[in-house]
Amino acid sequence: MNLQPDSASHELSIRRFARRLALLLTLKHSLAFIAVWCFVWGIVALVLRAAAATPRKPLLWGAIGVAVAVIAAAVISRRQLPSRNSVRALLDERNDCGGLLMAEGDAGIGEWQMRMPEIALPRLRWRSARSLGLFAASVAFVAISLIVPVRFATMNAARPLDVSREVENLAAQIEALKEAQVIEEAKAEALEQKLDQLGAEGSGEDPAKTWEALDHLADAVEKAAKDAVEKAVAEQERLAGAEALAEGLMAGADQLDAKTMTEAMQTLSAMMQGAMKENEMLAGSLSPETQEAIKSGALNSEHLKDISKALSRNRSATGQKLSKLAQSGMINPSSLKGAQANRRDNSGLAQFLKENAQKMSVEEAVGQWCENPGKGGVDRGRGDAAMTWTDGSSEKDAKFKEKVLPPSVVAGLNDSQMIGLSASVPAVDKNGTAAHGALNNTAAGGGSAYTQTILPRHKGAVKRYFERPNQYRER
Amino acid sequence: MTETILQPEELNPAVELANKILNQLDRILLGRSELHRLVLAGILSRGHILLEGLPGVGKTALVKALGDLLHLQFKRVQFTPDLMPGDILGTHILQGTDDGRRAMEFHPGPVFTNLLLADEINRASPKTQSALLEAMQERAVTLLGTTRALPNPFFVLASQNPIELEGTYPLPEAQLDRFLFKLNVTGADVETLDRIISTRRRGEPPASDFVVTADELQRIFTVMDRVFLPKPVSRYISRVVAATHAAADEAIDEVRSYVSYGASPRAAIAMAEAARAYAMLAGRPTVGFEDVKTIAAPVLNHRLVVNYKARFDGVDSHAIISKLLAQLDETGIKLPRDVQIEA
Repeated sequence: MNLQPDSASHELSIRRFARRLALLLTLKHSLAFIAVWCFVWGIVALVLRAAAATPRKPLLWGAIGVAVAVIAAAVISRRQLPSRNSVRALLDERNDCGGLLMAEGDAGIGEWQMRMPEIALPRLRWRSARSLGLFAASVAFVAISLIVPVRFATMNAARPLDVSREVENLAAQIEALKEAQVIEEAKAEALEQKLDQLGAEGSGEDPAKTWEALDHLADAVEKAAKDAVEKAVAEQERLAGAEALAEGLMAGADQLDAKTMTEAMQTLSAMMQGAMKENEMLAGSLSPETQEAIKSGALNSEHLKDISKALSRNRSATGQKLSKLAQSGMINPSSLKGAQANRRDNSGLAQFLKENAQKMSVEEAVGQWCENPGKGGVDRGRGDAAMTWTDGSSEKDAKFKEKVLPPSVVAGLNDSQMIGLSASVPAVDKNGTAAHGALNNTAAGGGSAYTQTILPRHKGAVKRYFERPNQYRER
Repeated sequence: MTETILQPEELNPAVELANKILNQLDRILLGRSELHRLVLAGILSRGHILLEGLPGVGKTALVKALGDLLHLQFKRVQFTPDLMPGDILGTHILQGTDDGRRAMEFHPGPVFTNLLLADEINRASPKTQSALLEAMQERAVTLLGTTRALPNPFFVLASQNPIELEGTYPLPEAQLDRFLFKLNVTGADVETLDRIISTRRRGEPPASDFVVTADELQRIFTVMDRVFLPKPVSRYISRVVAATHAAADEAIDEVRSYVSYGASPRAAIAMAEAARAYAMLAGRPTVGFEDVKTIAAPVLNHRLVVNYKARFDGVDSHAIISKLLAQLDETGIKLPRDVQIEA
């Protein structure tokens, strides 16, 4: 038997075993606490990243919790650690000391010290599979929580509003307005910026706001397009007179006397000067000589041709511009009719001026020539004038007068049964008596016919009344 | 350190003497070594022992051999249904004095001895059985208001037969609790029987060639009283006894299911004393857990009152105690379930 010389080694064995046990318990509790903390940490990290898109670095502070968990585990393990007497008793029992080791703690054992066996420390066994599994799962969870990309974690950006088609349409319309020079470049850019912002920030959380903004933008674009059409139509109407006069003078200048001719030329010069001020493109399409002639009022046939061509090109360009807007869906194609009116045959204008030279000025005559043939009707213009409807007929007295029935009648109607429907309002005798059929020569018992109760046995008679030929029923 | 435990030179003479008694017992009664050790432990603990066994297994022979060996006053009472308390305790008899007067004179009964063999104790009436209560606990007898001390030491070694129960009176719990041990004396095995019939004519045991005097016995008692009981062991004894009660925190399922009444504090005292004696017989100056485990069953088995469910399920107190000792950790160290201390 290997003998021990003193109790110091026994104390050492006891301390060593207690330390081993403490370490094992600390490790076990640490794993459990860290696992719990990791799950909590992971959940908090996921929530923060999803709700507030918190970056990873601040979340790493959660690692401090691991240290806290280890400290807590150490404290709890220390509390769970058996007393020295218990450890001594355990070693005594496991080493078959027969109580000598236990007695050593409380009393002197003297010579028995030499007879004590060597103290062997018992082995500690920890079934760690479950704890390790839980620990690994928790660490994996927290790692995934921190590693997972924000786009998978974020909740607020999870539901963007898909307005790409609407944005695309509006962008095309703005582009069309820009090409048609209907809106200024700066305004077009401002609209495009707003549109891009809407497309990027459109949120599913508040779709009404996005749609409202889109509608506002679409209204602005539509309004710009409508303004452009109105302006084009007004301009076309203004230039129509100049074009008609230029073509009329080219075709029948020889029919006019000198005075009328001079007045016509001056009128055309004045019209063109006004048009050139408002329409730079028109001014650019005229030759410098023609422009000089317009300013001086000395137009000749060549100038007239140039003016006619320029006006024709201007009309064509305006038509194309409006067509594009119509194709973009910004304006109703029917609204283009005013601006794209069929080309008028102005060959008879000279004759018209000649005939009316005494009655009105050239400007008035041209105006009358170009205006609509009439308001419609036999006394409102020529035969080709379209009919024009002015005020619609009033519906007053055309409707049945609404009348609130007395409650008793309403109750009677509720209990009534429809057996037929007359083609018109049934004739009701002032006396409340029926004039024909089964009800002939009968008188109401009292009150009005509306309130008279028709008994079930009269049902057949009433039905036959409604089945009679129309000539008997209608008066 | 305030005290020093028994040193080898103090312990060894007592141990040698005790071992001589054991050797003699083993020589006289064959194949009963463990029983002899327990009986001697009971005697050294100054406790009373109840021997239970079938007729002819050597109960009476064991007690007689012990009486011869210890060189103590030994008396035997055969308990019968008509046995009266006075037949055991003694009685007052009217006697004539020298001066010609008559006076009541006390004639002590067989209980006034060192070693009393109460043979087939369960055949006496409860009244007679109860006559032993004071004698066993107080080691004194009170008759007609006069208390008389019994000789020191005083032991009752009773025997009872577990069969032929007609006309018997089972010992009440109060009396059972006064027995330190209840030992089951079982039959002998083939080898033992062969040795008995081959070495002994008519089964008569050999005479003892060794006797322990009262002084020697007293020295053994003195040594035994100094056997050290460590605190963890005394704690273990307390926990074992407490765990025999169904309401105890450490009670096992079997106790909760089958035990109506657990062991008394007297049982804990008995366990401590018996464990001391057993440790001394093993030649150790200190009590270990294994000593407690050895004597737990003889101390506790007659003190547990099992219910009808236990009888129905065929579970006896021995089985319950075995389970209890197996499940109750000696050191009381409580560790998490998944942490174990291996040998």
